[in-house]
Amino acid sequence: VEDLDDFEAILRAEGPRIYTLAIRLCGNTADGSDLAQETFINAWRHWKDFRKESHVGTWLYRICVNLWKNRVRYEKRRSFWKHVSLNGSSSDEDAPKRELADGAPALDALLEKAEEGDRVSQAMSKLDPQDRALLTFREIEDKPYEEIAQLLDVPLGTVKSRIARARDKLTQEFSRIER
Amino acid sequence: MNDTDPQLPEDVRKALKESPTFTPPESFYTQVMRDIRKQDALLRPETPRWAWIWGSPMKLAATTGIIMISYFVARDQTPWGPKKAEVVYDQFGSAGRSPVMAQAPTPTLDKNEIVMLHKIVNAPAATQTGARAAAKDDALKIPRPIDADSVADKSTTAPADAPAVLRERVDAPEKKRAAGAPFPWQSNVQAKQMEPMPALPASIPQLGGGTNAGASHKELSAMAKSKNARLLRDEASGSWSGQDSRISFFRTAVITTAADWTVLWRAHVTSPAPAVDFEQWMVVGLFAGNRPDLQGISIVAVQTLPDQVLVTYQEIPLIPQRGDPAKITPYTLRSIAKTSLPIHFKKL
Repeated sequence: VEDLDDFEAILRAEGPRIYTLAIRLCGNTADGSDLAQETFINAWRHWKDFRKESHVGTWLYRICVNLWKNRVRYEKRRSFWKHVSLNGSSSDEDAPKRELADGAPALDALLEKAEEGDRVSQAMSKLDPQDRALLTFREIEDKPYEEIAQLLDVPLGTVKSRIARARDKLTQEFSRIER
Repeated sequence: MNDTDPQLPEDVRKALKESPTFTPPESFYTQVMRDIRKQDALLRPETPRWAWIWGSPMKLAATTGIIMISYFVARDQTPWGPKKAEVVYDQFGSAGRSPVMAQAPTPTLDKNEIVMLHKIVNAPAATQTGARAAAKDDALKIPRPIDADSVADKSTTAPADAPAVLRERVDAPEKKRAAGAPFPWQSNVQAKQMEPMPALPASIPQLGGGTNAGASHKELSAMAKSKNARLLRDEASGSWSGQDSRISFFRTAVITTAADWTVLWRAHVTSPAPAVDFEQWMVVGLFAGNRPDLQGISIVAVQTLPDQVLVTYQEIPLIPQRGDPAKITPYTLRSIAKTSLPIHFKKL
C-alpha cells in the first residue's frame, strides 16, 4: 500500500467481511461498526508490520479479533460487559443507565424480517461476549477448533468445553424468547 | 467431548448458518478514511509546537554568550576593569581615552623627537621587566634602536659581594624607620633625606643654567634654605623623583647629552627641564610606568665597579587608601659622575 487510495481499495474489498465479523462479535451494529473502523485504522497504522505472509483479509480478521479481545478485557475491568438485560430491567435501580446499543433493532433488515433469525440474534446478543464469539466462529463461520483456540489464545480443550456450554446457553435463551 | 455434544437445535443452527453478511454503509468507509487521514497527520513527525518561540531567543542568547566570552578572553583582563592597552600606550596621543592622560596635556612630540626619546630611553630594562618593555615597543610599532654607547650590557653580572653591600644599604632606612625616623619617600624632597650614595660626587655638580648655575656647595646649601628650597634641593642633589610622570610605561634612562635630557624631560613633565652640566655629569633613572600598586620608586645605591656602574633601585609598595591608584606613575632620576662604563640597573 503506497498511499491512501490503495488502502481504500483494500478497505472496500475487505470491509463487508470485517464489518460483519465485528457486528457478530459485539452483538450489535453500533459497537460492531466502531470495532470495524478501529480495525482498519489500526491496520493502516501498522501496515509496515504486515509481513505479507498471509492474505490481507486474514491479517485484518486477526486484528479485528484482537481488538475485540482487548475491548472485552477492558470492559470486564470496568464491569461493563456483565450481562445487562436488553429489556431495561435492572436489579440496581440507582445504578446509572448504561447506554448499551440495542442489538436486536440494529440487525439487518433481512434478519429482522425473519422471525427465526430475529429470535436467534436476540438470543446471541444476550450471551456473554466469549460465548457469542465462540458460537460465531464455530457455528456461523465453521472454523475448526484449533483455529478458534489460536484466535482466542485459549487451550483447545477449553474452547471445546466453552463451545458446548455456549450452545447450551443459546438454546436456553432461544427457548425463553420463543415462549 | 466433541463438537456434536451438545448440539444446537436444528432451527437455531439453520438460523445461525443463514445469518446474513452485513454490508457497511458508505458512511462507514468515509468515516474510516477520515479517521485514517487524521491519524496519518498525527503520526507524522510533529514539529515542536513552541519551537519557533524558544528557538530564536535561545540561539540569540547562545551567540551573545559566545561573543562575550570571546571578548573577555581576548582582552585577557577582568570584564569591568580599565583597558590596559589604552592606559599604557596613551602617552603619545589619544588623551581622551585614558583616565591617566586626560588631566595632563598631551606632549607635542614630532616623529623625530619620539625616535630620539626612544633612543635615550632605551636603556635595558631590569631583568624582571625587560620582556615587558620590549613588548611595549612592539605595541608602539616603533623600531627600538640599539645604542651601544648608552645601552648597558645585559649579560654583565654583579660582583659577588654586591648583594651583601646592597642589602645593608637597603635595610638601613628600614632600621631608621623602626627607630622612629620618617620614611625617605614620605616627601617629594627625597634626595635630602636619603643616605648619601657612595657613587655621588663629593661636591655639588656645576649646573648648566638656572638660578643655581655655577654655585658652590655652600652657596647651594644656603639657597636650599630659601623659599625655593624644594627645587634647589632637588637640583643641588641632582635627584628628581615623584609619582606623576607622564611616561606611563617602564623605562630606564641613561642621559649623557643636554638634547636628550630636554627631550626626555618634555615627555616626562610639562615644566622646563632643569639644567645639568653634561660635561661632568650624566643622569640615570627609572620610570615605573603606570603602577597603581606602587607608592614610588627610588634609587638606593649607585655603585661604581671596575667594569660597570650598578644602579640598584627599589619599588616602594603602595600604602592602601592613599590617592588614586590609577594615576600613579612613579619615577626617579639622579645625576651621577659622567662615566664611560656601562650602566646596569638592578631591582632589589
